[in-house]
Amino acid sequence: MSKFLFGRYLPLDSIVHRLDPRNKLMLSFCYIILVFLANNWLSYVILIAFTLGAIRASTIRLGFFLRGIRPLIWLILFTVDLQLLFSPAGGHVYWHWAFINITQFGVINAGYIFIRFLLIIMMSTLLTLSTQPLDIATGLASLMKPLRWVKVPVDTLAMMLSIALRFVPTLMDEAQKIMNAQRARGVDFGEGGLFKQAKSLLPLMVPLFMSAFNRAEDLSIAMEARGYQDSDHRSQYRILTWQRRDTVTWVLFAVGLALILICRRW
Amino acid sequence: MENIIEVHDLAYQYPDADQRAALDGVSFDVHPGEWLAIVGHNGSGKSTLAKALDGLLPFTQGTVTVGGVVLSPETVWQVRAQIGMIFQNPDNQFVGATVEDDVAFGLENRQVPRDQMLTRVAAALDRVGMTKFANRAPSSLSGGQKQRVALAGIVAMAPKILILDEATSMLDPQGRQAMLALVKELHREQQLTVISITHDIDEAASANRILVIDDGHLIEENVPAAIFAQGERLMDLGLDVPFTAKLAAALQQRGITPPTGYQTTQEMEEWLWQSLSNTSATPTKPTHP
Repeated sequence: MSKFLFGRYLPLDSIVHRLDPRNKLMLSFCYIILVFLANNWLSYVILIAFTLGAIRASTIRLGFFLRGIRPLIWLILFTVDLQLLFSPAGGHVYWHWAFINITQFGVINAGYIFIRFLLIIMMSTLLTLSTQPLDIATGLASLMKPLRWVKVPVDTLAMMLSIALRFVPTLMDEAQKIMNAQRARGVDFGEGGLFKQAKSLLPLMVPLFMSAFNRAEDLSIAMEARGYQDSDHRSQYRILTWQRRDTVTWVLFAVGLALILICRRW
Repeated sequence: MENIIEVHDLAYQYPDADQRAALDGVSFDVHPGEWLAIVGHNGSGKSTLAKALDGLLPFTQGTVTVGGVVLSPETVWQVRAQIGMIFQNPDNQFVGATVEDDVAFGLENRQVPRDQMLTRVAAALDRVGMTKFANRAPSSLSGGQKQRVALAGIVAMAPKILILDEATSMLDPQGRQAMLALVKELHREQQLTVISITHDIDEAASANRILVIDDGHLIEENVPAAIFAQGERLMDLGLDVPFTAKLAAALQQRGITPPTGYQTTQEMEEWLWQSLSNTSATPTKPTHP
């Protein structure tokens, strides 16, 4: 279970790993815009080249990215099929039955959708593989800072997020212990029908919640004892610094954007 | 010398409890630089007392004065600034995502500038021997290491008073000893006033003075040697009876009279060796218990 959330980060020391997490978040977001700007084969070839370049720079093996795609393969195939079968008429009709048309237009669109999915998944996988969850949280909080002006408690949210992340492994361990204890008492986890499986989770969830509440209470007392009053009046130990390499990535992004704008079909 | 903590007629009752008070008319003083142990059964009110000292419980009656400041809702942060507290569960007081973040947590709360934080965090981690682990996540640390990080968090804040609320009770024997040795060093080096709430006999033995709490009342106050001399009553006081005391009792049952009073493991060992060499001329077959 813990592999699902925390095994994703690969502690390597590449230039991609050392980028400012704020920058990586912004780049990932803008990259998605880029993906949707592209609308012909040439612009997709350019994007694929950029993506592969970024993966290369991260020194992470391509296999990890393919593994990132696997859990989403059914969603991708479903969307691609929808495009393929129900596209509005256009171009040559290859096959027709009742309300289903496979047209030239549909095939091309399905191909684009497939590539879009692939590219976005690859890039977001790159973000999570090269950035620690904590850094992503710190980066997000930092990017949300302007929301302070509209009274969003950004610092409190950041503190909550960081504590939640910090307690994930602790509660995972605890869940494992409780499961073992309940198995020893004869509970079967993950057997029988859906209803029975859900029911068997009850002896896991109840003690887990009890313990989580106890922990929360202990933690709040410990935080108070250490002088925590509110999140707004604190200094920051962990800070993010924008490096020159972060600026360089935006130069590369601008080049990519220009190329796409030139090549795309208007 | 003026007392660093003065507690007068303290009483507290948990809101959801029955008529019985968790603390009832407790009064005592703590001298600067003293090590005070507070012992008692589970539910005797000793942890409640520790929390009351730090303003973590709104006590119903009595006064607490810490470093000349009378504890009240207005002065609670002034009081907390003087006290560092370590709790029982190592996991539930680890706030930061990594070791250094956790040590910095208290400093961040006091709005210490970042350049000062960097030096103070590094110095505190060095002091407790956890520098190597600065970037580690809490899930990769043992309980003893987590408690040492908690101690580093307090070293970084440099308070005058350290309260250990059963801080070693969830640790293995090695972790417990390492932690205790570290607290002893800090107590000596920094003239830290230590209040330890404990079941552990070694921890209580390190104190200058022991308070015994039972059922919310302060029932006894004495130096460790006098308290430990009471032998079998120790268990009634909520202390884990030390191995040497158990051994002495077992020997007594077999008609061998060990020296009276509390013995450290080493003293007991020496006495055993001596008596063995005295009786070695007439060896007796050991009987199995």
